[in-house]
Amino acid sequence: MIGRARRRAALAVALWIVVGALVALAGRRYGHRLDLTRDGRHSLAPVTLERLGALTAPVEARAFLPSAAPPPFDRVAAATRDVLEDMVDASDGRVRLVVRDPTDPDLAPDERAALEAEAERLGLRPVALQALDADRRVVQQTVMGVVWLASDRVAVARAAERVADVEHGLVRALDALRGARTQPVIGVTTGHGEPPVLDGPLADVLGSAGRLEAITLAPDRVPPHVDLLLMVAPRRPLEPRARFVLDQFLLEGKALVVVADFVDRSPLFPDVLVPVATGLEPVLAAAGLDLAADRLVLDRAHPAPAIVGLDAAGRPARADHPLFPVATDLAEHPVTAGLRTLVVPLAVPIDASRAIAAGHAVSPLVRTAPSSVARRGLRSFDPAAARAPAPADELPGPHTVAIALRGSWDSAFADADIPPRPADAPLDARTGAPDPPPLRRAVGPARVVLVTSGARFLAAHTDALLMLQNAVDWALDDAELTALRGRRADDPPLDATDASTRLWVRLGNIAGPPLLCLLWALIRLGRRRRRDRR
Amino acid sequence: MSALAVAAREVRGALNQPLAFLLVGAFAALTAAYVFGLHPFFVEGRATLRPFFEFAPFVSTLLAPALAMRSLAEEQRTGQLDLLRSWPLSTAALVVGKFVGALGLAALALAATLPIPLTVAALGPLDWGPVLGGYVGLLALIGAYLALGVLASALTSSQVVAYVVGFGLCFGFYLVGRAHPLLPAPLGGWVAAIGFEARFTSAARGVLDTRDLTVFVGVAVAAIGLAIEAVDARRWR
Repeated sequence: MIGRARRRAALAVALWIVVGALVALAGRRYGHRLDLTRDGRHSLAPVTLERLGALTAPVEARAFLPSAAPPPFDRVAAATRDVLEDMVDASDGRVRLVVRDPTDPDLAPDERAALEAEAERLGLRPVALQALDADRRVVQQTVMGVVWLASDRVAVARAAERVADVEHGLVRALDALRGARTQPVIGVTTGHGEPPVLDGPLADVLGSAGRLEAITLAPDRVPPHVDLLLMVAPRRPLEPRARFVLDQFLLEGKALVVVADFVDRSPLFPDVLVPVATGLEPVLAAAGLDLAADRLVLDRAHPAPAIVGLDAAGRPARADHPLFPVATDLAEHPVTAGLRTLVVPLAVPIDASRAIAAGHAVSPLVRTAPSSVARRGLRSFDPAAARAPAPADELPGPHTVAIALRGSWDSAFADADIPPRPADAPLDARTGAPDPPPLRRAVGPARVVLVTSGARFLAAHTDALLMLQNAVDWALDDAELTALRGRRADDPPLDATDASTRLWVRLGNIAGPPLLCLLWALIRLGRRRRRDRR
Repeated sequence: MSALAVAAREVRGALNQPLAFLLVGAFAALTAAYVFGLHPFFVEGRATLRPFFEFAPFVSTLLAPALAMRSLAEEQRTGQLDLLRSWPLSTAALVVGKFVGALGLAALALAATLPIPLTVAALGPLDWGPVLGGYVGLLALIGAYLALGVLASALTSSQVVAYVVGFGLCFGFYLVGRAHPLLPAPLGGWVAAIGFEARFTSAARGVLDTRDLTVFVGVAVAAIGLAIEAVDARRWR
């Protein structure tokens, strides 16, 4: 009798475990997904669904996703897998997903080497995933990314830096696979004191937008296969020949993205502000953009922290600095899609009234707050100097410090002598031919994105890199995909709060509910006692 | 007598004890202390409830066994279980009723945390979709924890033992998702599939996925079924 009861109990235990497993498996088999976010940012965008619908033949997504990647790459790997699984579900069987895990602990060394060789053969280079582990920086070398495969064609989506870029990178690579797009070439200017973009983290960030190539602006013309020139924080002025080359590049209907400082701290005397001569002003003036390079935008009401010196222990000392204004007035534009706040250190105002009058499509991308002013003649980096009002030298805000422009214009050298080639380089080193005839008038509309705050702008806020990526995409006429990236940006920012508000928020939330519970318990206890007495 | 009547009796009984108020208040205070105190909420400056949904699953491993520990263990200790068996009530209705009652108390504990999203919404443009998804996912997660707690309570007549066993089970399911990379491939895959933390991630970001929620439901069904068998088995002792 007892033995039978035990057998029955064991059977029942097994049965209930099987029932639980079946419920979970049924959920996996007939899964349904409901995205409750406001803009559906965790669901595939319409443009992605449209691309998947346009597939005429099966394609394979071979994903190399390390399961043991350090943060934040673990989130990127998980998001990549999520997006790919969504694409498989939405593709009516036209997308097949194969996932390889290069950090699988069960892989033997030769299997891991074979997997990495396969990734490299398909065009996926190993990446160094850097992460902070407590107080040290950890670098993990692995392969990460997705390769789209269709019959004899291959397109690579390199590892995204942020979750926001995942769907964008995958769709762009899918476009390349379908032959809907040739990979654009982004020329990164060198030779005028720019930081080494091609060797730095910016190369990884911009790599998904196109192939990066170093370009020297003189003496030869920019090669015709370059679609866009990116100029980041030049420190030496463009000489006349380089200005002419840039001018001709824009007249050909190409694109330019400039993130440049026009004022900076002196390398010798860091408390002194000195002008940075870029030599860009005449080229920009031809497009109708005038810079007030003798003025600096400062905002005493909305300052961001800046390193202002060293404290007694030799550590960087930070203070809110009016010359690091926080800008929240961002345009509804693909370049600023999904962005909410930017910090624009040492920016100078842009006057686009001539460009607007000329009929160009002008979008002021970033404007500082109405409380900001454009101050003339400020030569000290000391925050106290910027905090002291100087009404006679200040123009009230808001001020435009980043702008997007599209249009056609006359050459900056239309009425001037064309700078000749140097005597020691009479022919184009690439083609071996003399220069083509100079253009006096644009042959197609050019696109320009200008930000008048350079290296510090890119370092001041994480959204600045996103804006740079968006600017490159927009300049490459890729606004549809830019909007896709903006959709998956971060959560919106909190409104500004003062210390007392923050204290009351903490106290109210931590102590409030327990006190209410105590009150409720006392009321119930009182009622019970009254009832018991009755 | 139905399972709902048992559940109502369970909730009334719990609210006559100071422990329920203590647990509800502690849950709200702990989660708020994490969001607005330990987490750099104001430094990050984002109108989001992610910190709450990061921390709440862990606190739930402490809360759920405490809410469930007295459900069956106390009835066994005081002999009420034998009395209940004399009523026209099946074992399944009894156990399910106890579970639903504990779930009601857990819903009360979640309601006590509503000042957190209301505060965040007052401080910035909070997207309520992820909040709704997160709360639904959290209730499902706590439901699975409560079922494990009821199972632990069915196995013993001591509330303390029931709490310790229940916490062990809940924490095991919470941690198991993190341990899967250390396990051999097939086992690691299975373990990853039932890890509660990973299952809750999508709900916390505002995506309700039945593939995740049914894992919680599956665990709850299995645990309640086992609890029914455990209560029935005592009949033969």
